[in-house]
Amino acid sequence: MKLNVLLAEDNRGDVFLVHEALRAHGLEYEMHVATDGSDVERYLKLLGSTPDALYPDVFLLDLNLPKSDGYDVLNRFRCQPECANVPVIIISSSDAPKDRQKAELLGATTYFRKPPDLMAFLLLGELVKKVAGTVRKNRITDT
Amino acid sequence: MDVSEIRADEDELLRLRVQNVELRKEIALLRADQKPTSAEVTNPRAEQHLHALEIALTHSPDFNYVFDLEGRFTYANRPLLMLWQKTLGEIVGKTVSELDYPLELGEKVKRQIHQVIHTRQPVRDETSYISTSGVDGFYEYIFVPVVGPDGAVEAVSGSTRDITDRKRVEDALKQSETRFSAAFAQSPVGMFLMTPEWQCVEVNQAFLDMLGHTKEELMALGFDRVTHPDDVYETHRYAESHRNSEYIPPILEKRYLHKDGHDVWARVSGAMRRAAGGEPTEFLAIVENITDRKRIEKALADSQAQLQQVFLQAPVAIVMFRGPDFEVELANPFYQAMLPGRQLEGRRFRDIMPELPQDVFDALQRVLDTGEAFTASDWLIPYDRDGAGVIENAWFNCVFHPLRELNGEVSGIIAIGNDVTVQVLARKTLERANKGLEEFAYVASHDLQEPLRMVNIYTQLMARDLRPHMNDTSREFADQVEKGVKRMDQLLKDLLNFCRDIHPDRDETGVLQSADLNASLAQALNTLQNRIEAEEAVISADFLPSVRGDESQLAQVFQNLISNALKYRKAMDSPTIKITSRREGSDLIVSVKDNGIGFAEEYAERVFGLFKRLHKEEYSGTGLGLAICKRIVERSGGRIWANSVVGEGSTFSFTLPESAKK
Repeated sequence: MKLNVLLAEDNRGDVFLVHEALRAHGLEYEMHVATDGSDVERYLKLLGSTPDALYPDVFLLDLNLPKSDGYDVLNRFRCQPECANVPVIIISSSDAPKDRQKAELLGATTYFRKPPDLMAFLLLGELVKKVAGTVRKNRITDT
Repeated sequence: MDVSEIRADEDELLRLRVQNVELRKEIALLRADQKPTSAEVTNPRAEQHLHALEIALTHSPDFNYVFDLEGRFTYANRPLLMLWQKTLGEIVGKTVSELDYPLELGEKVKRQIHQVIHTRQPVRDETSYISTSGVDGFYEYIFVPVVGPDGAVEAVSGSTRDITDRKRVEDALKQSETRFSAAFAQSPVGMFLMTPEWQCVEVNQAFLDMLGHTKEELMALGFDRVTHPDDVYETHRYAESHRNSEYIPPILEKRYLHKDGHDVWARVSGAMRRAAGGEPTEFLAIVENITDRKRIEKALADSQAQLQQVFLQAPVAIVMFRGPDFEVELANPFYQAMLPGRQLEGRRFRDIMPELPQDVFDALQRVLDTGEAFTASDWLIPYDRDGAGVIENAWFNCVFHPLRELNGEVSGIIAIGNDVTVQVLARKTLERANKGLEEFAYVASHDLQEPLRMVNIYTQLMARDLRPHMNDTSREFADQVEKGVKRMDQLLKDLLNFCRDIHPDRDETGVLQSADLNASLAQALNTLQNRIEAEEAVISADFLPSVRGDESQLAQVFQNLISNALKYRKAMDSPTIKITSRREGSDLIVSVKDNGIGFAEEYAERVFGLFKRLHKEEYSGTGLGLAICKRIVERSGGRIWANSVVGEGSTFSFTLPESAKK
């Protein structure tokens, strides 16, 4: 079963690197990329209505999105009942403690700082595997 | 009673005495005439004369009596008989001893009667007399010989007068004169006596000491010459008014001149003594040296004048409140200028500034209630600045100090308010600017780091994917890109570090926090542990004091200095680094000394500059380490400098304000 990944990221370079990271860790996944806040919102509205728009298994969110504040997006995502328990990984180039704290406060599962090194970046794949794996297991037990 | 009066009295007494004696002579003669042998006994004129004399003697206030040649009384007049409580018959034929005179007096009287008989001269004397019946007094007496027609002494006539009262007055006077001259001589207060013509009669030692002159010098100079020229006129007027019994100013304050030329301030009080008729006899002046008091008065007046100046000119509002309603008793011009058009004095503070926030009145009330002073800084007290009804923000540094009565009760408050609105606003602007700068640095570093991250990762990706197809040259190119990116990354990090607003932590009162330098050093050594081990460095440190500053920022200073010492080591010698602290005056100096390659003294300033590097090629680094140290030390209120000798090593030293808390 493929992992449904929702990625909110405007930087094409980083989108490519996320793909690299997931592939590097042998994950099978479907990924929907939203390039700004309104994109994410549109996606959230469609959720469940068509077979194309599946509930994500993991949400990778860049806080630095154009047209909206990353925190707003996170907040709205969490407000969807179906998304309340979906793991969210914040990906950010900021290392500021206040950004980490705020993300935690809004219910992000974990925080991944975009590193300036390739090998370090590829570790994102491992993080996704770990976070999504836990959720998967829970789901199987639920049904 | 005046001496002259006494003298006049004495003369009168003598006159009366002589008269008495004359009378007595006559009586004695008349008595002799009574003998039956005398033809004149029957003379009625003589009888009449005798009777008149008897009456005169009887009514004399003096005691009159006659002794015979053996000292026996032959006569005593009525007052004497009354004093003795005896009849004439009881005393006639008795001697004084037989009449219970004290033994000594009796003997003296006997002797004196003999003397009169032998010398035919009167004897005058005085005696005190205390009789067994309790008569107590002082008496003056005269014994006069009664000489018969043949020139022989026939009897001794005596007259005694009670002078007890006069004696007492005389004694008192004598005593008072003695006392006065003692007081005059020994008084610590200056005194002099003058004639009404202003000739000095007597002057005491205290007065001479006051002026530093001997008596002879003063007499030679005269009093005008030892008086300050400006006060001579006033002195004369004072003296003349005494003489002329005009209105007399009770006290004259004047200046004398001391022998060495300095002024002697004095309080003079004078008294003119007058004879019974009112004519002036003697002028007594009492002179108190008040130079010290004048000096204190002047010092007090000066200090009051200074305080007054402060009050009038201080560029802070000073206002004195009285009573439970904080009525303004006094307000300085600055306070008045702060409140144009408002009447201050005599009004209640709440009526003057009704727009003030309640906490101002609460603070005043607390000072009144507790008696404890109140201070506040940067206190926001909005008020209607120009009285136009618009309340504007204003910030004040305030002190409310209790004013106490002599009994300790707080009856008022002195309030001092310094308008620091301009400073507070400037600081707020600066704080905003600093915050803006901080945000700018954050954003800039983020935005600059982002593309760099891309360059790096994609270079790595490219190297990964293309490496099999790359030749040595292109691999070298890729390495150079990677090096450049790493260096740029470090530069950005250091720059961010430098730009970060270094505002050392302060407590609520604005005092820098205490930092334990030992903890800062330990933190730095911990960070550098791997490098220290790799370089096999020997590091020693004194026990360091606590200072005012930020512990982790000071750790950064140690880290940068030690890191430099490790970096600029000599190839052959293992690095030895010594951290010491010492005190020089009020400064606390911390030094980091190494045995490295050193640098020429002329670069000692430049090394602290931004991006300044002495060794570009051989040593890595961004040239920001020492600039960061300088910034942190200066922000903490200290300074930093370097001493170095090429080939011998460098010493970096910095001062820091010592922690108030030990």
